Amino acid sequence: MIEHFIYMLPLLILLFGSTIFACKKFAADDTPQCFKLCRLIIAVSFAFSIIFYNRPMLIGLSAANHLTSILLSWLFVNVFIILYLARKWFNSIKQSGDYFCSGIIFATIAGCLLIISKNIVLTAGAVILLMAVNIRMLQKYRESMQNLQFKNVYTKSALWLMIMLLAATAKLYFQAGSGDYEIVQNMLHEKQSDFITFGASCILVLAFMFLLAAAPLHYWLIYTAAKMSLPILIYFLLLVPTVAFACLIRLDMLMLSTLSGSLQILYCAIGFMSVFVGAVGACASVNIRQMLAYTLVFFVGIDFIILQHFTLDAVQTAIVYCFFCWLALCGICITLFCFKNKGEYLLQFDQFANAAYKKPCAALIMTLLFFSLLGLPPLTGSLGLFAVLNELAAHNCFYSLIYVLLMLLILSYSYLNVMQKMYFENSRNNFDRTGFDIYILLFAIVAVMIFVALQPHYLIGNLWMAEIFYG
Amino acid sequence: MIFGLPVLLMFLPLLGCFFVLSSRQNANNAKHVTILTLCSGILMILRLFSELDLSQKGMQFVYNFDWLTSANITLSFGVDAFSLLLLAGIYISLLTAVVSLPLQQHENKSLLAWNMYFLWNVSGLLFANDIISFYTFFAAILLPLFMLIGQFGDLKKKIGLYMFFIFNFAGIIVLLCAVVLVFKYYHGNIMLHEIALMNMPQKAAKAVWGGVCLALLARIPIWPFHYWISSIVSIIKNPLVYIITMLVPLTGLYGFMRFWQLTIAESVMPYINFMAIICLITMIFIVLIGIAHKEFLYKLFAYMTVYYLLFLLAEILLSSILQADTLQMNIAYALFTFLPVTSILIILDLQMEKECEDKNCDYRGILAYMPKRAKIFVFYVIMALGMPVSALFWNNFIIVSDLFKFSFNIGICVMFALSLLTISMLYELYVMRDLKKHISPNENIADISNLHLAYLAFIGAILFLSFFNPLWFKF
Repeated sequence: MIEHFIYMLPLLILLFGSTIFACKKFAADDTPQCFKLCRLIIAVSFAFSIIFYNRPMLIGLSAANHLTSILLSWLFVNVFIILYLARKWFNSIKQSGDYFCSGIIFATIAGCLLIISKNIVLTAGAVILLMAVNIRMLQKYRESMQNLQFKNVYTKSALWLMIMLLAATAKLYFQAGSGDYEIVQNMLHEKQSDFITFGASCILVLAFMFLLAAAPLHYWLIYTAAKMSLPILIYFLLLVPTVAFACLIRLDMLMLSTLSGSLQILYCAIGFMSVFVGAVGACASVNIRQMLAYTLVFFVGIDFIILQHFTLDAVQTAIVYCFFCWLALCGICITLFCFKNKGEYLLQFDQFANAAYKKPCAALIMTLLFFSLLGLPPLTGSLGLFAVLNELAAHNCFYSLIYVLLMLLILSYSYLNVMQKMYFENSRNNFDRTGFDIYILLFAIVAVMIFVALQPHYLIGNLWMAEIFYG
Repeated sequence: MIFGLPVLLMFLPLLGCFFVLSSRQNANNAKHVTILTLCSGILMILRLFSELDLSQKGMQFVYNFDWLTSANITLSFGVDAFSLLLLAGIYISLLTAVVSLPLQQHENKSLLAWNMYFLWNVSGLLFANDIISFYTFFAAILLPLFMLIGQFGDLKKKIGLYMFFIFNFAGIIVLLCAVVLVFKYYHGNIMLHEIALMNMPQKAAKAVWGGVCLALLARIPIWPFHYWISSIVSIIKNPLVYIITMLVPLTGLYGFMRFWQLTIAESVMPYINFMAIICLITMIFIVLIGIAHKEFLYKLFAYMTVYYLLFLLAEILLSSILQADTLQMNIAYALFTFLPVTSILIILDLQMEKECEDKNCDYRGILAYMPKRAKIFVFYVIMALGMPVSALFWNNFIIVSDLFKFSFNIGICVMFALSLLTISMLYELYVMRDLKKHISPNENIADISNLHLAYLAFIGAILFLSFFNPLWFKF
């Protein structure tokens, strides 16, 4: 019994941390202490999750294998980066960050549960928790959204989805007699022709689509991203998609693969639509945060196009591609912290004029990251793109391959807009001084990219997924 | 030790790029680092030539790097006389451009860093022995090119730059499709010369070769792909950027030479004549456009395009009747002379244009006020047009006579284009030298410095020696 308690330590520490933040209010002057405490809690939880990496945190409800360990590490790295960057933002506006920190801790709990879960009830609970955290985050940290018609768009949509998700989970749970992925999978296999059961499974996918901001459920991210404060944007671009994606691939392989024939059309439709919306929307954007949101929609679309095959190869490719996109997006988010004018972080493309002369290093890294997202060699993103195209060619999906490349061509136009402003437009714009620590973080990202480009066999190659998925 | 030298030579420009970036904000530092890097590169090329076995076919000093063993991807790099000659030509061209770069430009650091990055990519392309590394460096050229043209090309309208990027990116995407298909059927990386011999389903072979040809043609100013380069080069005023832009067609041409090293793929055979006709039509049209334009620079652009197309024509038509090695070496000897000569002409012309702009005087008759520049300019123009004792003349003579041997009609068309080109350039030279044409005489026009003159004469001597023995520097 005591060992069950010990294995739960990563979650318990996070719960303990959230209780501290619920009880203690931090003043604006205490922001550094607040973030330090939050980082400490996350670090201890991370340490315990590494120590007990092969022990299930919740016996009977969760799995523990190499894949969950890798995904948990990915989650914690995300959290550290977000906390580090958010601290700078809160410091600069002299606002207390306790609310944000507690939100991040709750999101981490939800993320951990989503990654380790092997029970649909636990998964649904974690999704609802994550949506609730998202609602609170958006309500608290939106910037001048009073005039927006869609100011409560996320709340309304999330509440509807929560209700639908609860209903779908209940249906699957009672029909299978258990929430375990394996048992539900067997039930789905037997009742493949049952329309309501299939519908319930689709709702499960819809919930993840919503979190990942895949089209047509991308609207909330697009409308809010334009006015989102920077830490929240990073939270929605990095943390939420990572955990949602991590849970979706486990759900796909362990439970939904039985319905692969029927779900393939849904995935394909989502993928094609997201890629189109992402590429065209990004071209129409003049706001960098909105453009990044569209970029996320685009890359989520590509992941769905790959995942439609429900094979381990496809999942591995999707993870690899997701990792490269995450790396580049993470780098771009960090560079956004380098561009500040009179205390205000930049929003519109026009504000980036002259950036290449005033902030040459940050502008250069941002340019390289954008080109990496486009998959231009020898930058790291080209590896991800190559893996994706190889996967599509292996399944003879040549039309998908051509479609993805065409949309990539369209997407490139939006990145050119930013680069054109940064490099080729003269202006008298001045930028505030950037801390040296941000550059260190950027160079760390670049170093990881160089390492991965030189030694890609850690990610691509053998079907390592088979070893770690059930290992 | 010699086996590490090609790799070092390949990465030398990247090293130079880092040093340029880390140099102080002094206008001279970056320039000196670049010159030092380029000179070191030339010395390394000479050392590699001394060790090269010319009787051996294929790549030498091959270096294999197990990049992704599980996916059967081993990157392979090597050199042969063909790639080394081209690299030497590029190094000399860029060195000439950098030496003549004005010192006072505060943007020099960025310009030279991108220049070094471009050179790294071109070196990688010339050293690439397999399809993945070829694709990587072929595509990588786009980034420095985009930055150089955007930052230093003086483009007033952004649409030209966007079109340039998207057009080239589309070419890269097409090549990527071809690479993915090759990868699907070969289950791994493949050497460039083996692709033409590879067994593939007919449809896949057509798709692969269609993709490869389109991607490579997208880099050569051939109709209908000429738009990107003609719209850009008429605006660029920076000699280094102009030369770099004019090196881009070389990458496409080089690709054809490498992909069809042993044989032309069967699936392309039916379209060869079609490609040749388009090549000829483009040649004639570009010469006519060159005649219609009054600027010497545009005529020079027409001249370069026509010669690139001539080499392409020779490659696609003659590789089936001549030994590939002989043909390639002829083209390589011609390009080794062609690249520095055209670069020097570009630099001299752009310097004169700038002088005219600064002094607010007329371009016509300007050479009458610059005796030293006039001598060197006339020498290089005549050399470019085929002065009988220049290497360019001899190699071009062989290529054109082979074309005549292949088809008299094609030979006539080529000769017609070359003759028109010669007349057009000589007439413009006459106009530039004619004092009576100078409307607003200004006697304060600065002539070329003695040092610069000595450097250009030195390059001239090197090219002159190549006439007697193309590889005179190989001991």
